[in-house]
Amino acid sequence: MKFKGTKLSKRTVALLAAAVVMLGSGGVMGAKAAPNITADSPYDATLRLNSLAVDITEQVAGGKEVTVSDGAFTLTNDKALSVGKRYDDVISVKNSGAADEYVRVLVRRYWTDAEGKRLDLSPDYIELMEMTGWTKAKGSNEEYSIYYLTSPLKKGATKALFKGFRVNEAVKTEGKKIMIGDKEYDSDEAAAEAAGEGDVITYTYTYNGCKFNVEAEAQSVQTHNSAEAIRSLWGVDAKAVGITLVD
Amino acid sequence: MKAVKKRTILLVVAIALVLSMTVGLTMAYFSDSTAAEGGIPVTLGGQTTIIEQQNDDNKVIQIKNTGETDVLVRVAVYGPTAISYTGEGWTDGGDGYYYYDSILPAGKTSSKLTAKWDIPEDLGDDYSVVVVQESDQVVYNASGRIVKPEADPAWALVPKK
Repeated sequence: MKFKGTKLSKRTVALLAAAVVMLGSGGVMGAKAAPNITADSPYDATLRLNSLAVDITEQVAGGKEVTVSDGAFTLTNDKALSVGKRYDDVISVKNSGAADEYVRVLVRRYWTDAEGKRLDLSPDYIELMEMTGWTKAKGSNEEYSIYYLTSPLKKGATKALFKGFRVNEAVKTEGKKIMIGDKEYDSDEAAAEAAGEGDVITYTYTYNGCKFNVEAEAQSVQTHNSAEAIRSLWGVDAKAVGITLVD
Repeated sequence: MKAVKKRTILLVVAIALVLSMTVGLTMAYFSDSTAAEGGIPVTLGGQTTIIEQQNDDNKVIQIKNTGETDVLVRVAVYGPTAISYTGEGWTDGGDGYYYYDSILPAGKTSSKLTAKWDIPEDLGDDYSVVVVQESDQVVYNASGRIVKPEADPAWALVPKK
């Protein structure tokens, strides 16, 4: 074979042919997987790459909805947390992109000490009030949960996941110790009876000074070719986790 | 020599084409993610102190919340004779204690409670009056109601809200 007066070996020709074949098949595969290709006419195809974006928002009681993506939740404006009190704090996901999308949120709740070290205390005492429209993955446990939005989140739309939270009142009694000096008592009455002049009854609580933490990671994926996209990116079968597919 | 150079160029172009397709395939699905986190420390237990003004036949009592949490408060006074109480915002629990009608927020001081007694003539000045005050952190249940302090199930009165 001649190429502008240069001879090409059979090996070079074979390599070029292979490259062209791979390029061709890759192009077909890419077109199948590419999410946002629209053909206006058989002769005028438009490639439109819609940006997909998801944000996390928060609306503290009495406040405005604000975006907290890659930031921190406020949770409440109260100076101190009241045990057992329900706080209205709406945590939502927002479709801030240019196309509809499926969304899931990975939530972690746990306790830390004053230095930020994780503690083996009950995440169940951090109660998050869930909204409807979500399914909770079966593999979720008391610390880690995955919530799937059952239908696509429209462009520009916001969907609340939690409407509030509270710390269960059990933190006030679990692990409570009643002490006079080094001696521990079973009840307040027993301590009061034993207390002599100048004795001080001291109460200690396991959860006192501990910080409860909530982490949320929102993930979104395209609605085109969604079953494959969800399986590929999230590793789950969309229908099995309760997602209603629209394409 | 020229043929070898061109062949090398063609090989490089072919490899580049294949690699470019590989990159394209890994970006086939559109996705996005973001995260946020937050938390609040929990403070348990309450701290209060008595502020009192001693007069001849009465004491004017106030309770100050010196802790970081909201508390419930009750007061009892023991003297040489029966004690009569007056004070706006205080209610007789019928158990010897007067209960503050409201939650006492952190850093705040209650309204005044006056405890009055008759001075027995035979005792002169030789008597004592003792003020007992108890407080406990405000805790809510799932229904949003304030629960009675677990330290004393006989705690007679709690504010509704």
